[in-house]
Amino acid sequence: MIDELSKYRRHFSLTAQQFLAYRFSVFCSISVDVFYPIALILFWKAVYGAGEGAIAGFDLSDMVMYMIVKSFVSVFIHVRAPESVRKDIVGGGMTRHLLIPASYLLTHFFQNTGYKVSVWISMTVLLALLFLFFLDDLQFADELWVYPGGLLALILAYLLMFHFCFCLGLVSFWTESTPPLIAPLQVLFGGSVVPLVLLPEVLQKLADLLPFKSMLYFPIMVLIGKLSPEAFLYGIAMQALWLLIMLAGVKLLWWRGGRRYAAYGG
Amino acid sequence: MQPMVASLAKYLRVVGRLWRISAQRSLAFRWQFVGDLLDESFAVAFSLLMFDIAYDHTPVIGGWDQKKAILLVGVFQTYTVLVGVFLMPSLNTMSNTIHGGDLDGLLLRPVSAQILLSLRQIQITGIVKIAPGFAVMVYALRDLGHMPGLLDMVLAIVLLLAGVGIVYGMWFASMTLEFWFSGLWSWVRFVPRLFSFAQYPGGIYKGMTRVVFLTVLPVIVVTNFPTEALLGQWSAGRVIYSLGLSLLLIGLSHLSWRRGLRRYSSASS
Repeated sequence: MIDELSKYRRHFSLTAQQFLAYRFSVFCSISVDVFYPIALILFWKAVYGAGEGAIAGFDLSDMVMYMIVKSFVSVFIHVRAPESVRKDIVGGGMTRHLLIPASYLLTHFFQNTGYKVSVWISMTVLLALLFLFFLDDLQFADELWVYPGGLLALILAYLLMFHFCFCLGLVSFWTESTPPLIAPLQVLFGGSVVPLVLLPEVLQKLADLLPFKSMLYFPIMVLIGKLSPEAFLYGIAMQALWLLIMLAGVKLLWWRGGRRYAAYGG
Repeated sequence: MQPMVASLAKYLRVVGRLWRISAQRSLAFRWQFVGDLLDESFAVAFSLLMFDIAYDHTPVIGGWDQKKAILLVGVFQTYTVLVGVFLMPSLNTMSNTIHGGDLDGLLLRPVSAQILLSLRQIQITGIVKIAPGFAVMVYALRDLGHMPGLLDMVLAIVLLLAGVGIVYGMWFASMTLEFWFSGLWSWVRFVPRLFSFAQYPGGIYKGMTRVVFLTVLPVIVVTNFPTEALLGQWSAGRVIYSLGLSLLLIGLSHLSWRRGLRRYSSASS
């Protein structure tokens, strides 16, 4: 098992080195994503400044925390897989992978995680700056379980996101572009627009039926301390369930798509 | 005067031909626009939803009421589409062109390489994405009970185009950093992403932030000025400032390009 994993460790370290060589570029790329919530925070500060009280249980401090942690979680779970898988399928690069005695899924997973090393380092520095900038408006969770719990939720969210994106990439066996509506649905039901509790009830119910809530909204809510231990355990169970569904999706798409794949030339 | 007109006609001809080729390429994937249109409509709907939730809490945000904010959503959407159709396809490939050595081919041609690099590709099918933004603008103006006069509309268009010019100037200048720092592939997202701050009412930015967003990073100028022009709330000072800033930044982008070219050493054979 260890021997089996060592070949993937090589993918991990090579990709990590490749992106660390371009650390300034990665830093710039991440800085936009991390600083993007500044405008949103200023918008919500204006909203809370003009009105009175909390909105659906969210006061200004919660909202600022939500926006900052949202940018952190978004960057943490971001995956490059759909684009690279699509290139392999459409461009014929898949042939090389089919001939190598290594799992295509695990190769991508370790490459993506290697890339994330430079992202996570940049993100830590930038996030510290963002926290300092809005320090007066922030209120951190008191309960200590929130932090290891949040880490677990984050790791599961990353695994879930990876498998979801991998499925999206594998759809390229049938079509050249990503199916429409996936991105906007992910944005709304992941809680990127506003916290899901602020949405109309019908949309909140719809969000419960989709995986996007487990990818973004759930880890944010754990990290800002807005969930009870029971709600946390339920959320972890939902993440595990969605992960199993995604794994089954990957198996099915790989099996069906592999039969369709054809490449010509050397 | 005559050589200048001839030169302008030459550039229009060249850009026209490049766009025709680019349009033919886009039309090869003509059904892509259906998905894009759906995605864009949802993006507009989500902006409206966010404003709706926020305005449920208070009638005025940063001095803007909800109807005016809805108009801003339409204008911001139109700006986004213009940038996506006319600037993004070319500027997205600029880093690779410089880094990969493909710039040699452009420099040898008897026209400005900056113009070729900036305008050689468009994504013509993306223009349909203007529809949701336009629909929102019409709805907002009807809701406000305001019919803009001809001058208001012309000035709104001029200010919007000046805004696109501002973004172009900053974006192109930022991309020329590739001459100094090689491998800035992700830098391409930096400027357009910063200008997504323009989707909010300018009144939410106060103090020093407001000064920065009016001058150094003029996000307020790009969408707030055209929105207010549609409502007849323009002034000559604003128009001059916006046009002046646009010309200044385009000029600076050219200077930065010239300086960068001095450092360029071909990467090809």
